[in-house]
Amino acid sequence: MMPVVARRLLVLIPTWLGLSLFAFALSTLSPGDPAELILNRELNEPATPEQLAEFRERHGLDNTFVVQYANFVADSLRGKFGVSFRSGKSVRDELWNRMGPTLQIALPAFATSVLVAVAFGVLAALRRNSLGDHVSRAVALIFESMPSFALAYLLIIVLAIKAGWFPVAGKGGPEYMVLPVLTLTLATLATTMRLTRSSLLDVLAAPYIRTARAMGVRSRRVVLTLALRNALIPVVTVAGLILAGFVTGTVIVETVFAWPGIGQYVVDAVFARDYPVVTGFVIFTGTVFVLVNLVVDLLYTRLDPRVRLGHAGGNA
Amino acid sequence: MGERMNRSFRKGRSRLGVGLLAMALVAGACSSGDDEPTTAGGGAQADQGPTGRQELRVGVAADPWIDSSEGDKKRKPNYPLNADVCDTLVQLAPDFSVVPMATQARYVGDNKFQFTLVPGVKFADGTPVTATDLKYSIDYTTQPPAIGSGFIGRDSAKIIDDKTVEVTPTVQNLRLMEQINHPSLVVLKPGSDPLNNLMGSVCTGPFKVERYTPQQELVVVKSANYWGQPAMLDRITFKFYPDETTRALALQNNEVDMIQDVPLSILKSVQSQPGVKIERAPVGYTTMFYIARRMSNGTERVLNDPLVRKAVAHSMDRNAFVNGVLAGNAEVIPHIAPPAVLGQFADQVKGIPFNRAEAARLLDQAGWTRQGDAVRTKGGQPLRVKIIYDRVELTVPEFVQAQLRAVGFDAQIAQLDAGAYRDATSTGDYDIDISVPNQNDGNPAFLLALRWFHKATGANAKIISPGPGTRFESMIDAILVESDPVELRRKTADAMRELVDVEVGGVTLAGGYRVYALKDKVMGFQPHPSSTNQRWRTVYVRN
Repeated sequence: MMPVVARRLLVLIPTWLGLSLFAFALSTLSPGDPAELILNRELNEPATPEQLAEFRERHGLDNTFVVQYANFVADSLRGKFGVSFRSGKSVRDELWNRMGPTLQIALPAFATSVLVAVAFGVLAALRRNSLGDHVSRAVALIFESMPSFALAYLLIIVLAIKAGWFPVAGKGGPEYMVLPVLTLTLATLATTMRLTRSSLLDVLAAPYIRTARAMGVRSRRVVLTLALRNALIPVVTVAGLILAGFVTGTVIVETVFAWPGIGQYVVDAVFARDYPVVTGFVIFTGTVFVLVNLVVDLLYTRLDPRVRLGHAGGNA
Repeated sequence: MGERMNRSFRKGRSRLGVGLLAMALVAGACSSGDDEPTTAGGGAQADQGPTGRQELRVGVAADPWIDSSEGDKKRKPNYPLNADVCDTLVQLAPDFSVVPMATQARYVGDNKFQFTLVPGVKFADGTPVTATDLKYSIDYTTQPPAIGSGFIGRDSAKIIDDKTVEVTPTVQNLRLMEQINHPSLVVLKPGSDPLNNLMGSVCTGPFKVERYTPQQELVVVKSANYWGQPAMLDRITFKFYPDETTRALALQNNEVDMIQDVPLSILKSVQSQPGVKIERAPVGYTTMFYIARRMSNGTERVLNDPLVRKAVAHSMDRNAFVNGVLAGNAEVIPHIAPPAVLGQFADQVKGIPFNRAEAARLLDQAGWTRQGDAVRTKGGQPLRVKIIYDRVELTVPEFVQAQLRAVGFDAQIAQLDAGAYRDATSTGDYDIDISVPNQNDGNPAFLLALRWFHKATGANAKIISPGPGTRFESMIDAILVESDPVELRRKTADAMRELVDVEVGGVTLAGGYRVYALKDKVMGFQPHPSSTNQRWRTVYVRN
C-alpha cells in the first residue's frame, strides 16, 4: 500500500505545480491594477503614485513574475494565500470559515446521492428492462437534465410552498438543509445510477460470474460480493469527482437557498478581481481534487487487487 | 467568459424565476392553506393600530457587509442597509430637504458649520448625548479605515460647548449640511466601533442590534430609551437572500412579511400573490448614461462631436423604455438626478426629446451618411460606439443599443467585470456608460460635482474627460459656495441644464421608483426615495 501512496503523491507534485502556475498566471496577467483597486477603496479617493508604489512594494507586486510566483508557491505550501484585497482578512481563514456551511450540505448530499444511486442502479440492473428500471432511469435523468437552479426552484415550490414541509431558504435548523441537500442529490443521481447499472450488467455477464452461478453460489452473494465490488470501480471515480465538486462550492445552490458557503464568496471575489482569494481558491480546489483522486486510487486497490499488484510489481 | 456565463445564468434564472413564481402562485391559489385574505390593500379589515407583539421580517438582498471593505464595515448597520439603529446629525426628508435629527445645523460663515444637539437626545443605554460624543462620532469616520466623505478631516470637528460641535470641511464646501445627512456619519457613543464590535456599539436610534449573523440575518429590537417617538415594532429581522426569486418565494411562503427592491422581472408575479401589496417610493434614482468624449490619452472619441451627442439623445424613446423595459415603474424625466432635488426649478431642465428624424438629420449634418438601413459611415469609418454598463440588467444596454441602431449607429455592448469596467471608466475607453446613480443625500449637485467637475475628490469621483467645459465648471464652483438653499437649487438647475440640454454630457432614460412588496398586514411603511435613508419607526403589523 505505501509504495502506491508514495507513487501517487509523487505524481501529484507536478500536477499541483502546474495548477498553481495556472492560477497565479490567470490572476496576475488579467487586466486591471489591484493596487489601484484596493487603495482607492481604502483611501476613498484616488491613490497617489507614491501610495501605489508603496502598496506594490509591500505586497510584492513590483517583483518579476518568476519571483512573485516563487513567493506564491512558498506561501501556498505553508497554507498562506495572502489577504483578501477587499476585506483585508486572511484568505485561508475566510475560505476555512466558509467551508463549514458548504460541508454541511455537501457531505450529506454526497452520501445520499451515492447510496441512493448505487441502490437504484443495482435494482435497475437486476430488473433490467422492467418498468421500474425504465421509470427510475427516466426520473433520474429528468432531474439531472434540469439546471440546478431550476431544480432548486421546483423543489421550493413543491416541498416548501405547496406542501409546507420545509422553509424556502436560509440557514437554521436541520430542516433548512433538506432542500439544498435534495437539490444536490437529485442533480447528480442519474450519472452514478446509470453507471452502476451498466457496470453491474457488464460484470454480471462476465465468465467468472457465470462460473460462480454454475458452482451454485447464491445469487445475493454473487451480486453483492463478487459482481458489485468490481462494478463499483468506475462508480468510485465518478463519486470522487462529485464529492470534489460539492466540497469546492455549489454556488448556484448556495445562492438560491441563501446558504452562506464558499461558492458565493468566490464568485464575488472573481468579479471584484480579488486575486488572492481567486488564486487561493483555485489552489484549494485543485488540492481537494488531487486528494480525492488519491483516495479514489487507493479505493481502486481495495476494490481490485490487480491494481495494487500491478503497481507494486511495476507491470500494470 | 465567466461574466457572460454568470449573466446568462442570471438572465435565464430570472426568466425561469418568473415562470416558476407564476407556477407557485397557481399552486398557492389552489391550496386550502392558511393564505392571507386576497383583498387588495387589506381594506377588508379595519386597522386598529399596533396591537400585541410587533415583529416584522424583511427579506433583503445579500449581506452587504460580508465581503465589503473595512471602511464599509464601519457603517454597519446603517449603510447600505439602514436598520434605523443610529440617528444621523441631520436627516434627509423624502422631498430631499435636510431637516434636524439629533442636531440642529447651521452655517456660521468662514466654511464652518455648527451642530447643536436637540433637547433630550440620549443613547440606547439611557445616557445623554454630549458634544464630546458628537466629536467622537465625526472623528470615527476619519480614522483609518476612513469612511469616505473626503470633505471631513481629522481636525474638522471642534467642541464649542456641551451641546455644540463645529465642523470645518477640509476644503471650501458649503454643501456639508446636505452631505452630512448620509447615514455614513451617525451619532455613536465613545468607544463604539461597529467595525470590530458591533454588539458593543451604542447609538441613539429607535432600535438596537440584538444579533447579526453574517450572510443570514440582522435582528434589531426596540430601544426602550429612545429619545424621540418610540418605534412601533418590537423587533425587525432582516433576512439576507442573495437570489431575488427566492426572496419573492420567501414572501409567498410567509417566511418574511415584506421584501425590499422587488426586481421588475418578477414584479407582476409578486403583485399577484394573495395578500400582498406593492408600494413604490418617489423617484430616488435615475437610469442614465454618461458620455465620454475623449480618452485619458487624448484620443478623441466619436461622441466628441456635439451634433452626434445630440443625435444620441434624440434617438432615445424614453416612453418605450419606461413602459417596456421598466414596466411602468419609473417616469420619464430629463434630469440626471431626481427632479425633487431641484425644487421649484426642476422645470428649467428640458431635456432633449425623442425625435428619430431629428437624430438622423443631425448625423447627416455631422457627415455620417447612411445607405438604407446600413450603419452610417464617414470617410469609410463606421459610426461605432462602445456601450458599457454598471449595476443594470442587460435589458437596459440592449434597449440603448437598439435605439442607436435604429438611427444608424453600430452600437456594441461590452460586458465587463468589475475590474475591466473600472479600467474602462478610468481610461475613457467607452462612449456610453449606463448607470443608475442614487440620490442618497440632500446635495442637489452631488452627481454633477462628482462626475463632471474636475476638482472632485473621493473614491467614487470618476471624472469624465474633458467635461462640459469651463462655463459648467464655474457653475459648480458657485454652487459649492452658495449658502442660500433656494439659490442653491436654482444654480444647480442651471448647471444641470447646461450639462443636459446644451453640452449633452449625460442622457437620462428615466427616473426610477424603489419597489417594495408587503403583506397586507404591514402598515405604516413610508417608502423613502433613498433606500439608505429608509426608516422603520412608523411601521407596525396588524395582528
